[in-house]
Amino acid sequence: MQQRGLRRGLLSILGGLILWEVLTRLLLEDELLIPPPTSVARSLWKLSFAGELNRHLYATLFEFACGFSTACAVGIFLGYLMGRYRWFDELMDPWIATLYSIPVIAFVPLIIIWFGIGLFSKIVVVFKITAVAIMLNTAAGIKNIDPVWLELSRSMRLSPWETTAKIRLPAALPYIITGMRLGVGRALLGVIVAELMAANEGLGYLLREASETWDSPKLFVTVVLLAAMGMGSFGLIKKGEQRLAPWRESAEW
Amino acid sequence: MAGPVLEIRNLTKEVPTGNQEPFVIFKNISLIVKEGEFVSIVGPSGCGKTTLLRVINGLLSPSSGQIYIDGKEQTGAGKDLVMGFVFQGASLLPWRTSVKNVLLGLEGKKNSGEAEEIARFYLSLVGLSGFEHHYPHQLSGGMQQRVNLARALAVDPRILLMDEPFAALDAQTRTFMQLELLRIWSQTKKTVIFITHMISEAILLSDRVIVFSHRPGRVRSEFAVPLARPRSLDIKSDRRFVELENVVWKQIEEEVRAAREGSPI
Ligand SMILES: Nc1ncnc2c1ncn2[C@@H]1O[C@H](COP(=O)(O)OP(=O)(O)OP(=O)(O)O)[C@@H](O)[C@H]1O
Ligand SMILES: [Mg+2]
Repeated sequence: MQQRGLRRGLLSILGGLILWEVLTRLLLEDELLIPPPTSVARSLWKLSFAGELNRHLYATLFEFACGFSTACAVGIFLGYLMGRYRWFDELMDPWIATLYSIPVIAFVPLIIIWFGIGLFSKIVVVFKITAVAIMLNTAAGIKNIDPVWLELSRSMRLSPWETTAKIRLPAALPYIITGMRLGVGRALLGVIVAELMAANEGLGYLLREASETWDSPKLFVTVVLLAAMGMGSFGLIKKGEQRLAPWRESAEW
Repeated sequence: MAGPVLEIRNLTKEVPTGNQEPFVIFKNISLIVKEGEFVSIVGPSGCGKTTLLRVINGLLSPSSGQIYIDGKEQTGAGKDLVMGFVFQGASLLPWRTSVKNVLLGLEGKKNSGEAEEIARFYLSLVGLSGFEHHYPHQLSGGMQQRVNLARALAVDPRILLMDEPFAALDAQTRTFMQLELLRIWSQTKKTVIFITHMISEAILLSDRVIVFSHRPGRVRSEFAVPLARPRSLDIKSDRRFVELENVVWKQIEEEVRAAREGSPI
């Protein structure tokens, strides 16, 4: 069933690629506008052969991973406190609203002025984009816990620490994962925007360079890689969800 | 001969309502439960049965009155796990497998090998060998209640508190679970307080049936069940069974009627 679905998907993509190749070769004189897939592939090959691609890909991935894991750690921690303590929730609320309302595009230049064009500013950008969703979802999960489980915990005489580790956090896990899922796509976008604006490496930087030199195959390579990264991180979270929360039969996407 | 396992003296539970009169859930309840006794409590809905179990378990504090377990007065939820609680609704943790659910009360109190052995023993006692690694959603309602029972038994409690454990099951499964409980009880010899709405269930299982009045709940009457053990479904047609069922039913009917006159249910 799943196998057949996969095969059809691949077939469909292959068909699309062939159509693309034929159309560009037939209709367009200039490869500048839309390069055919073979040119894109050639460019990909050249770039990776020069080691250039690896460096940029790695830079972007690293920034993304650092930012995302920081956002998860801080978001879960603060979200837990918000879920547990009303006063903390009220304390955080205006800050979260502010942070949430600032558009990324406006945020990035400021961050670059404050933290420079290196790794740290990218981490801050990813954090800004993802932390709020993780925080709010964690808080919702902690608040919505079934009171029966808390009663069970007291009846089993679990300590407050055990109640957190064995009852509250696992109960909130589906919410936390939803928060992560919401953040992941936008976080990738954030890194790219930041790199587009100011960076000396990363896929966003490559994108800018390619566009400035009118190198459309290279541009396409970057776009394809970004799409692959997006899909990869999505898949990773889905895998993680299946591992961490196997009791949730199927996650609806 | 040692004293009773559980003694309750003049227990009252009220909750403040904002205006003058507090809301009285149950009033002046006194009860003595002997070692190894199986006691059922029946009564109209809302008469405070669940609340009473919560107070006994230390999850709520009484407004007045005392609770003694093995002669020791209980004040709040003590550190020791002397009671096992089977809840009214589904209370298995969905992120834990059967064996992990049963382990909940054992973790940190025993070394992990020993704890796991105990958990597996109780799962097999309730007839769930082979289902150790199933998650609750992979089990039927009856099986889930078996896990609940195993979890409550695994901590080797002095008293087992069961709050309508079979209420959500279909009639067939329920009857089967009643027989299973008879078997498990005869093997573990636990002291049990069992709450139910089903009079025949109370009589089939218990040594003693206690009838509560409508809210505020009080002990209206109590009956020793004059039927020998081991019991099977056959006793349901025993004349004494039927008579007792009728008497208890009449009393509960009166209570429900009285409750309706007092206030809407
Ligand atoms: N914390 C509370 N505050 C106010 N009222 C409460 C509280 N806890 C219980 N009650 C009320 O006390 C009454 C008894 O509740 P309880 O759940 O103990 O009844 P019960 O006998 O178990 O009913 P059922 O048979 O339907 O399970 C109910 O009217 C309930 O609304
Ligand atoms: Mg109840």
